[in-house]
Amino acid sequence: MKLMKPSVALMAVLTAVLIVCSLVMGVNHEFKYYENPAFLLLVAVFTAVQILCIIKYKPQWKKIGFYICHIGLVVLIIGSFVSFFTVREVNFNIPIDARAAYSVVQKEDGSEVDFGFNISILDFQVEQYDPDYRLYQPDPSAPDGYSVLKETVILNRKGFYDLGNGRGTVAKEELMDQTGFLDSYETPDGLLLEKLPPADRQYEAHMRILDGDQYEVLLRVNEPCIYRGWKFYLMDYDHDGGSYVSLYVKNDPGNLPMRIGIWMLILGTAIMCFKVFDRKGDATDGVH
Amino acid sequence: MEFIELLALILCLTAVTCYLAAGALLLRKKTKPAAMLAAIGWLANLGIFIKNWYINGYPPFASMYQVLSDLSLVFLVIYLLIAVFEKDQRWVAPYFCFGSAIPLIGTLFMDKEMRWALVPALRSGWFVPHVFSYMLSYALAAVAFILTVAYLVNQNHPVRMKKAIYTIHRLSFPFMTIGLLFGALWADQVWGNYWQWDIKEIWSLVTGMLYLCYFHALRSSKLQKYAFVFSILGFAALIVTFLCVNLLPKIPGSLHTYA
Repeated sequence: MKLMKPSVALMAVLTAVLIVCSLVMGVNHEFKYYENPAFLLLVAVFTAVQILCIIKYKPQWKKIGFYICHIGLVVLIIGSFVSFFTVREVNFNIPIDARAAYSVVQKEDGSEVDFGFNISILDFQVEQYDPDYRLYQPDPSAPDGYSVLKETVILNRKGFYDLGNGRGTVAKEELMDQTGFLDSYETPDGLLLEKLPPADRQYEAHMRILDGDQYEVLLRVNEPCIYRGWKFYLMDYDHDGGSYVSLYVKNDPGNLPMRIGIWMLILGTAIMCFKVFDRKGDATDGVH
Repeated sequence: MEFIELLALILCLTAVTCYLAAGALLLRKKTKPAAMLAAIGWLANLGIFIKNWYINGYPPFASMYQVLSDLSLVFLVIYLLIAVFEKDQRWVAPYFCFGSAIPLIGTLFMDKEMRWALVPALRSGWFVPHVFSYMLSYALAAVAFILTVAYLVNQNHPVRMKKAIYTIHRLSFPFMTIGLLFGALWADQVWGNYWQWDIKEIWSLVTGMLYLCYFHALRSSKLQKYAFVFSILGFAALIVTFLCVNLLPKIPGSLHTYA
């Protein structure tokens, strides 16, 4: 059975579907084509073709990259299907209050997710960068008497805000009082600096797990917590009042096969493309 | 203009001029002056990289300006590796020089954002490997595209050109794959899912699949002559992924707004 031409055709069709559907989704955000049965069927057919490719060719050691790559792709796709049909997940806001314990969370569609144990958020800290400022100059024609002179004045590594164009600098300490950075500051020359919202450097929360025994874990961005198959991700927080954090929690049986498939794809592709075991190449090595 | 902006402009213009001149001299087989100019251009380019790192306090792989500046830097490094491991492809040096200049020319028209705060999601060990893999792949893909265009315009030495185009694509693709999949592993760590169906992710996948079509078409006797079409479409998709997606109105809602 010749598989190369149908493989290319199938990949081209999949690519075209991705392009068209992504453009449609750009206009209609509710259009989740990747959950559509037709799309899932297309991916299933693609997977079947991969399996046929794997069993079609006689095993050879020098083609090990090919096998790792294609088997990895099949494992990855199967893992994603397992994930699609069996994952339990929820996004929710949880108060920063040790007394507020959650074991069952209701989703937007009314269904419930039961962790099987209680969690509560004990505390939350956010670390922010030193703020930037916007520079204004007096302007009688402007509605509030000032017009923008420089959009962003940043703190340099020497600890000074450089106003630019020979206007001098303002030391970081001049823009601070006991409570922190000042919202606005007037320079001796009559220019006005207004504080811009500072960007977050990092934020973290301590979470308590009550499951017979009590455990305390630290949640940070890029550092999820895993407990009894449940993964807890710190996604966001209340930027206005600091009263809650936003968590994303999931239990996903498909996660491990997907991870294995990903690493197999990386390894297989590298072996094939860098010709680790097949230095001589083949007849189609760019010359045709 | 502030001193640091003036310094960035001088370094950029120096690097661009040297890269282009080196490429032109290499086409005229004037190897030694070309090598010297390429080295000067690369050092000026390195100066931009160091300046960006110093100002920001972390490896400058975050904003578009930083990435384009770094992208120019990798072309000649990749060429040196090719010259060592693929000796019969050394003649592609001029195309790497021209390729080096293009991203830097792009930075001349950009907002430099001299300091760019690293948001919490980017504070990860995956950050540099993910971006760096993509930069290597994009640099190689760009050179392969330049060679493809040169081959289509002037079909001298077709066997040599086709072999070089294939070799460079073959080197680009694993870095593209690694970049995509490292991104997936990172996404699982920060957002809890390997794939978000984000527009940047989708176009990265589209780019990879078009190059996959190129490689597979080469292995079909009936599709071989159309393989170059897939490689050109792949590069077009790469440009969309790298640049155009950032211009789309939907991008503010994308998870990749910082890229």
